[in-house]
Amino acid sequence: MLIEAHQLRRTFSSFERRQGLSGAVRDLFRTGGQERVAVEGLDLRVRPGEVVGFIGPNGAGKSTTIKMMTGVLAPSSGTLRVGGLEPHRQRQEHVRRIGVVYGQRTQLWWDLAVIEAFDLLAGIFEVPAAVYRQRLELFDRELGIGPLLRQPVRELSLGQRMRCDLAAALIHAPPLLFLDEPTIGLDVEVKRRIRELVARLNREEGTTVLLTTHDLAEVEALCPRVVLIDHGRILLDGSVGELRERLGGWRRLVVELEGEVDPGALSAALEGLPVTPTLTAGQVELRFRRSELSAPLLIQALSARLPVRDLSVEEEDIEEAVARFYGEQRA
Amino acid sequence: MIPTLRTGLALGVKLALAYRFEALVQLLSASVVALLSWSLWTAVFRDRATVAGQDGPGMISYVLVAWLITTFYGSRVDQELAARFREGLIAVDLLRPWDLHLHTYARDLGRAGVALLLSTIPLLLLAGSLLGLKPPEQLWTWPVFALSLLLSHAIGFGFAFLVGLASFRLRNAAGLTHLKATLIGVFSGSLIPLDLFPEPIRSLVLLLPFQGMSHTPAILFTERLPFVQAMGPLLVQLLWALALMLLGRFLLRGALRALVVQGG
Repeated sequence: MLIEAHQLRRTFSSFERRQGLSGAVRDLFRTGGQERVAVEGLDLRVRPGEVVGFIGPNGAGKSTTIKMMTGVLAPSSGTLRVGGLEPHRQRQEHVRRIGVVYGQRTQLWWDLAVIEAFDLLAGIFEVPAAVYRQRLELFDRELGIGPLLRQPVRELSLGQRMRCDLAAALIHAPPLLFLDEPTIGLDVEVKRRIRELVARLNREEGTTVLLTTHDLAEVEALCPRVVLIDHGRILLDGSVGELRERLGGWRRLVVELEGEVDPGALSAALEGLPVTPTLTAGQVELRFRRSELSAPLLIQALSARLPVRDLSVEEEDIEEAVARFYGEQRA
Repeated sequence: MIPTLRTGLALGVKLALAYRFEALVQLLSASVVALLSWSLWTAVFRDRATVAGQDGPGMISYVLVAWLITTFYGSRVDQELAARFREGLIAVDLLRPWDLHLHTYARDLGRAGVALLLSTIPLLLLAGSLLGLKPPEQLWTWPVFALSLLLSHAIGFGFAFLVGLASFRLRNAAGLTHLKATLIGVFSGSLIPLDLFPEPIRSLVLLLPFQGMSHTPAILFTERLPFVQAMGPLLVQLLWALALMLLGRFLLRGALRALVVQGG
């Protein structure tokens, strides 16, 4: 196992400020605060070479988990081993083997040129000169950052900066890569390039990847394994297919009819079938679960009674499904 | 350890060169204060031969050196460290295989090196040719002064690092930074020669670490002590530098254990 977390827990003490002058004065003499649980009893095992997508709403505990795994935060209790090391205690040794991108904050130096930052990182990670050159060529080919190298970081656009940030995280060819919302706010083209490079490193160098995101298309494109987390607990751990299944496996059949829809004929056709119809102009939309009803059976029942002109079957958008799932869990 | 020092120094130098304009501003403001101080002491010595046992040229040299080397040791590590904690960038600093304390020291030394070349040395040369700053007569004074400068920087860094950690723990950077500037200004000898304090304040002030920042290099530069006796203040500087550095390392460990990376 590359990552082994057992009953991992992290709490923060939050400090709500009191109002008014007297509150401010009393705050001066207060120690400690209210305990807030960010990660609660997390169990997770990741094998080398896996690409795991961490999804969950804001405040679910994804970033806290990543920060513990990267050695930045100490766990409050439980055990965590990454590559046999305890990230927080053996930080310096640990960070040599990992690459990290925090989408929200840059790891480059605002006032230095990109190449100066890369040189410094290659120096601190002791990357041999020949390897360093190869890495720069790879990044230029895959991310197109060659023309950006001489620019100060503060002058880069978000997309340019993120490409450079990803390259910076990969200079020392880490076998384990953490991406904390790496494509937040990026356009389709930059997202595609970043995904392609990550997929390629996984395929060709066997890089293990842990990714947090709100972009479910990204999860579908990159991650054979998905971990859904909320309130610091794992709600689901499986493939994207299993995620769909667990989220209900809802499908949608959209039927276009010749002429006006006859509600009577429709309800007769759907008699006894576990399906909810919605009528719109000249169209019927039918929602059903894949486990309860097969699409051919439904189509057959409809065509027998109604003048069907055209139809299409769609899987429910996973984003909608996850949103609904969060709602159900919280209710 | 070597890569940590090397990249720290390189980073400090690069960042300092990226802010060249700031060096120019520092040069200008430091020379204005030097001129003010020179005018004041020249006026004082118009009517009398000595003050606190010092003659005019000796006192003016002390005052100029003590002030001008602040451009070298003046560390802003406290503000940098507090800002990196506040903005959560400390999470990025911790992703590097370096000792954060040693890295920060090397980076500030790189910054100081650039300041030495762009501000301190030009200012000392200017003061030597225009304001009557006397260069040392003995050859050994130069290496001893250089070592003393390195230690004055280490003390300044060590203290600023502690202030930075305190700002993080107390979540208040501005107040502590101000306090730091005041303590150094008054007790280092950079603005007021420490010999002007009446006893027993003078003796107390000489027990503080700040006297190692400007007072010690200034008395060494002005050759008030013969070689063997000069080793005393140098040793005191070294002990203060080590003590502050070790305390910084120790408290950093505690701070990192308690670390809450702010901002998501």
